[in-house]
Amino acid sequence: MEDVVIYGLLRGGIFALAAFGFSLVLGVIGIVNFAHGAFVVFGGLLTHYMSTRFGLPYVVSLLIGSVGTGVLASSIQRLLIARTFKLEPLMVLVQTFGIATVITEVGIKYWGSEERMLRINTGLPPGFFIGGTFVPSFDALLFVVSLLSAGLLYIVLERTEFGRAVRACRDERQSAQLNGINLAATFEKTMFVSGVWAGLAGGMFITLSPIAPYMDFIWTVDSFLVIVIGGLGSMLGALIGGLLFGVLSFAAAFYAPTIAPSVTFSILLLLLLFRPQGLFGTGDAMRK
Amino acid sequence: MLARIGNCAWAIRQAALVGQLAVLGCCGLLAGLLPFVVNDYWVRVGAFVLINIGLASSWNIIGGFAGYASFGHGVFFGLGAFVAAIGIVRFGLPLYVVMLLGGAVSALIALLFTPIFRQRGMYFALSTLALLLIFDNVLQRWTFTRGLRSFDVGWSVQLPYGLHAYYYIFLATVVVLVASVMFLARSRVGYALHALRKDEVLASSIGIRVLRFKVIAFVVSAAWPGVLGAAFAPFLAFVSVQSVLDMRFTLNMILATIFGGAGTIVGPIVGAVALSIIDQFTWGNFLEYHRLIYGVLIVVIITFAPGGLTSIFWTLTRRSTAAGSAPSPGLPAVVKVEA
Repeated sequence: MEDVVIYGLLRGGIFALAAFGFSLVLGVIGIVNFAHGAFVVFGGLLTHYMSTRFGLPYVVSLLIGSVGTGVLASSIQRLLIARTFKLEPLMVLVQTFGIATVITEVGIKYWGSEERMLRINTGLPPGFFIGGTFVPSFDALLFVVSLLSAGLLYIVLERTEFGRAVRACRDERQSAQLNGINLAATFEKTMFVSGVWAGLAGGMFITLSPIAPYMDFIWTVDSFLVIVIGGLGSMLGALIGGLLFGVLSFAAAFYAPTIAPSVTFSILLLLLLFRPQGLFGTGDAMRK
Repeated sequence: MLARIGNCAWAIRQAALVGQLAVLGCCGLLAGLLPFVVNDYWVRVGAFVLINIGLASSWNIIGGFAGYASFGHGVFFGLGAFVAAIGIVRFGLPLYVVMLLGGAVSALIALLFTPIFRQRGMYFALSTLALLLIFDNVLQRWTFTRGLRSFDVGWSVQLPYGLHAYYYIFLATVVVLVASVMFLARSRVGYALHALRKDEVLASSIGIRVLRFKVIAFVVSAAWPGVLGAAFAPFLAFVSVQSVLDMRFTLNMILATIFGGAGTIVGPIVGAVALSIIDQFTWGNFLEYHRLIYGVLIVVIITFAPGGLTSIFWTLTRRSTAAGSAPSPGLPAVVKVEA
């Protein structure tokens, strides 16, 4: 029991990272980004490519991977989504589906379709015990890093001029525009931040578990699950949602491996029906 | 020339239900001549096109007319196929019985999921997606649906029908299906759906029972894929979760409908035919890039023509101001006059 919780929490940190960007885009721009999972996978594979092909240190490749994903995300927003969003907002759903397919297929073309993983040698001791559970020190390190980057995102959103603009767009779009906030630019920057954190999640996850291009859809659904559990609109909700989802999915896979997907999706369905504002969401239920 | 075609199309669009049904019947007869002029390969392609038309037209009822984009509609197609497989292999039922049964089971399951209509838009899409993934998992694991023996992963369904027989079965089913959509569009249900798509609050305030009509639309649009899936099972000869519950079917329904023009009767038909042609072309010529081209095409079309093919047609024939394009699902319509 204890080990399931601890391992679930360790994974949950990364799920939370992946969900931050998804939540941000859904809250601020108001679109469900089905390509988000493809961003996570792209970030992971770019990190892998940088460190295996060019032999860069892991931290540098992780940085390149996440910023590269951010650039990809914001250029997709500028070139494709912005136009459709203006004409037919709901079509963006299908459009991002197509974008996810394209990213996945191009990834398969150039990087191959096999699953791959990155082994990092940190030089730390192999691990330590919490109670009777062995905790690998690298996993613990990643958990700490994901909490730190969550804190960084919090500071970006709460303390900077960009964060103020983002929150203004989220709360009251028209008034924000009337106050001289450039909506299109803010949306692009939001998409950039979303992509950076998605790439970070992918780049960190690939050191723990294999990633392959075909996994994009699972990541999108997982991010959505985290938001549904934690509640839309608050970073804290997404963080707690991510940790809870980590424990939940780990427990489902541990106790009921054959029907694990049904268990997680049934919980999702029940949450959507009875608590669409999330377990910790305070605002009104978003059902549009 | 174009204007004349436009006028002609407009006349059909405005015609009485009987007239539209007559046009549909003529198209059905023409399609029925196909096996006499082409070889078996193209008849097989034609059968798949018919399936796509049927699926897109049924998705159109909930996604186009009601404006609720279901992302798990393939589940009803898969359920129909599984009902047929189990009915034929386990109980030895004839095809027409399992087709009816497939439709009934799908409709029943759709009815059970009425609470989903507490959701709207994206949340509804996600709920239906979760529904698909749950059924995917259950049908794959449950020994009753896995196959006859405990280690089977699917059903081998054999019936003594030839390719042409299946073609005519599909054709007849699809013609009845499209006729039912035409009938629905001109009935009270159609008008109610039209109203609630444009403004749900306003619709319920003038006394339309919104939930009831949404459920009717959902059940009808679930029953038809069930019937088609049941007919598809023996055609495919092997039924498993991978072969009939693939996400591909759901995506195809949505894409074909939106590509053609959601919320119209012709839209899904045109979209399904056009997508099938593109699909065939890329399979034949660029097999390796098949999925990539498909994805690029979706992105390009949605970026530059979010209204679909029918809206392009009306624009070309200068009827755009009068006829308008089909409003996309869930949007406040930009159309001023509607047929």
